[in-house]
Amino acid sequence: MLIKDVVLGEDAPKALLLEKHKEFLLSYGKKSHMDYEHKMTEYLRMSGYYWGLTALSLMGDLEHAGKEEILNFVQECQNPCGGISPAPGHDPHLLYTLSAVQILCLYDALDILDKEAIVKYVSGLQQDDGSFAGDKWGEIDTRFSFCALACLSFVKRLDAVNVDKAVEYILQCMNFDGGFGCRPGSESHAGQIYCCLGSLDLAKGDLLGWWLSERQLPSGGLNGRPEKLPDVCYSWWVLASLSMLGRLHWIDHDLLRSFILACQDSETGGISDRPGDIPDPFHTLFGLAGLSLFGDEHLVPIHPVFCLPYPVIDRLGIQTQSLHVG
Amino acid sequence: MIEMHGRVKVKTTAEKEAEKEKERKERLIQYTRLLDEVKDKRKNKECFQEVLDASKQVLLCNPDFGTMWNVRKEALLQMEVSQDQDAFQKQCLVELKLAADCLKCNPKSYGAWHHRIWIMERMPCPDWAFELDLTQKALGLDSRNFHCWDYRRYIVKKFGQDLHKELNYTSELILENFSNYSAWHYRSHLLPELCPDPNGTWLLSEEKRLEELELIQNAAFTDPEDQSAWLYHKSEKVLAALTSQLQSCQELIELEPESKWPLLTSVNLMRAIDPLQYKDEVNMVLQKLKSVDSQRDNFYTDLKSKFLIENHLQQVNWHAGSISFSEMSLSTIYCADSLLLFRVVDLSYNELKSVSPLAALQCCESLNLQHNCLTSCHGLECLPFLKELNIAENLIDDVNPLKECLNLKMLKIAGNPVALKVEELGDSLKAIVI
Ligand SMILES: [Zn+2]
Repeated sequence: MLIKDVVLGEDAPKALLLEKHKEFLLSYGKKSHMDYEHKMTEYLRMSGYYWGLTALSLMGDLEHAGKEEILNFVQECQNPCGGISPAPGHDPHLLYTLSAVQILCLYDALDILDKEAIVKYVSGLQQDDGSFAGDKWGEIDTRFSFCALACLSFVKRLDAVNVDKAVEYILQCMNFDGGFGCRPGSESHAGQIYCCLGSLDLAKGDLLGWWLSERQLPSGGLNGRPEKLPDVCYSWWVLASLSMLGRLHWIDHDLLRSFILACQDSETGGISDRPGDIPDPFHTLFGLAGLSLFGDEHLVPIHPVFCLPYPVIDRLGIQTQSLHVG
Repeated sequence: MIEMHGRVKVKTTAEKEAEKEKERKERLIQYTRLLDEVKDKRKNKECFQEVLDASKQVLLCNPDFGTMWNVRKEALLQMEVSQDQDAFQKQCLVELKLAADCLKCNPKSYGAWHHRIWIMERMPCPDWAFELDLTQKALGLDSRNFHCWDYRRYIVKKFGQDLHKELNYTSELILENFSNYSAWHYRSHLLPELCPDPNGTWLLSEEKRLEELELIQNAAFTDPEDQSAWLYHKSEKVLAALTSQLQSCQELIELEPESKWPLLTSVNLMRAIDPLQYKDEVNMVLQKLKSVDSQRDNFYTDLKSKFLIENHLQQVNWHAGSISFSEMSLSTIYCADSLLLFRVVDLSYNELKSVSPLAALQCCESLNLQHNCLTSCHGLECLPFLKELNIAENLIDDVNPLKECLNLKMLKIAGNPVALKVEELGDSLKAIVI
């Protein structure tokens, strides 16, 4: 049977194009409202800023992004209910509440938002079974459990929700392969596993670690589920999960590095999902984050649970339990 | 985030680019007008029809736009109380059609799937059978769409669909294509519910376990490189008929000696049957796996350590108080919890890189870690009874954490970078270094 994979071209980039990526991200942030594509992605703008700014700070270049402007934007997006919208005029959601809090952590500016209102919003979304809804319309997903727990860790108010129940729910979503799905009974995929592990301090380390290491394909790239194509963003979900399990060395580092480098756009800068595709800030962040987890000397080390630079997490004084499994 | 995936970069001419730009400008104006319309009318309870019209057009080109689904839900809640049941039912059908149209252009839109469920929950006369049929058609187009599988499970529950029918459905899909990991996944949830083991020992009844093994065996023989069936096999690890499984597995290896999945499965089978009897064979197969699947070299090395430790623990005298794993080429420590009660632990002459699992050695008084690959002793300070510690011949350049071991009387550090700077150590440590 043919394995679904890609072949890296001879002319694919082999060095990390740091300057190009900085240029790409800074120009992305400055795109005008008169740009159609830009307008189309407004519904996730807050996360867009988080991806771009975190990528810049991994490259040690956060200063060049207009801090004032961004902080004003974040402030403008907080709603009376405490939740945060992706952009002014949009409805609040847990996904963007987390992105906003992460941005403020980068800038050490958590004080500019009403923290108690955030805590109230997030804790109000927990359901009786321990799960979390994404917003008041009731979609349930383990990704939202991660968003909620991460948000509350940043503002140091995990006591505001029932953490035991939250963990109990996440464990119900564990599967025969040791991975996790969106809801009880859902199929495992790597992004979900990252969210679930990030919320837990235990897991079936070996089986899950093995399943994750099986995500690496001959091209060096990682896929999110069996029989799917490789994708740069999965290098992050898989690596971060393996790192939380203490099994990062089960991935072939050199091969993965060459795959991520081959996904760089040498003309415009930026990283795409697969070689030859159009780059975007999302994959640029997760490509760089993957390289950083493996200790790339040009990049600031990244925290595998919170996806923010280590110095930021240290500054906040957040302790995470490492996983003792095996 | 579908719009960021699989967009192939194509080279264009300046002329084409200008033409596209003009088109984009026009689209932008239209799009902005629609957004303004929704924003203006949303607050006004009279105008829900306009809100529905404008948001529909936005969603058709941008189904991930969460707020647009929300404004529709608001309008619907309003209609639910202000209109008669027929009119509301009609509107719900419009919503289902919109969700379906959006899913046609983006089958992974979380917003559209959730809207569908939200509508089904509120509809005066929901047609569950129709929905079930719809998921079957959609899965016919893409059998791996996990959103669609989740939706099907939701419908099955609501409709009270017979789970045996669902099991048959997964059988059909698997017989069509053995690599359907999603279908295998669904089975792994259905089977324990439908055919539980009456004794409670296994997830499944004996009869069912044998049937599943046969299905898996067929899958594996058809295509030895197929991941789905082998993965499933691993979790089932049913003891019944394991030996005959191992035999067929070995036949397969003879036919295709370089094929990874049969090799890995034979390891699992041998471990499940009798780890000690197959000890040497398991080692040999692991060595083979390291070469056929070199990307996961370190995984197999750790797996080997795990097996060695498990084997050793099977033969150990639990009352002896001391245990030795010396010279076993261990790359990592497993089952550390089982070492909790030992007072003397020898792990010397291995390839250990980290001491973190050793936090479990809470009764240990004497620990030998000589000649490993440790770069740090951080973590050992939490062993309360530690009296003697040998970390000679490692790569450690800082022993300050050990200051916290108040009972430590003897510390061997020769052959480490830190041994070159003994003078810099505090008095408490200097006094115990040999
Ligand atoms: Zn991706």
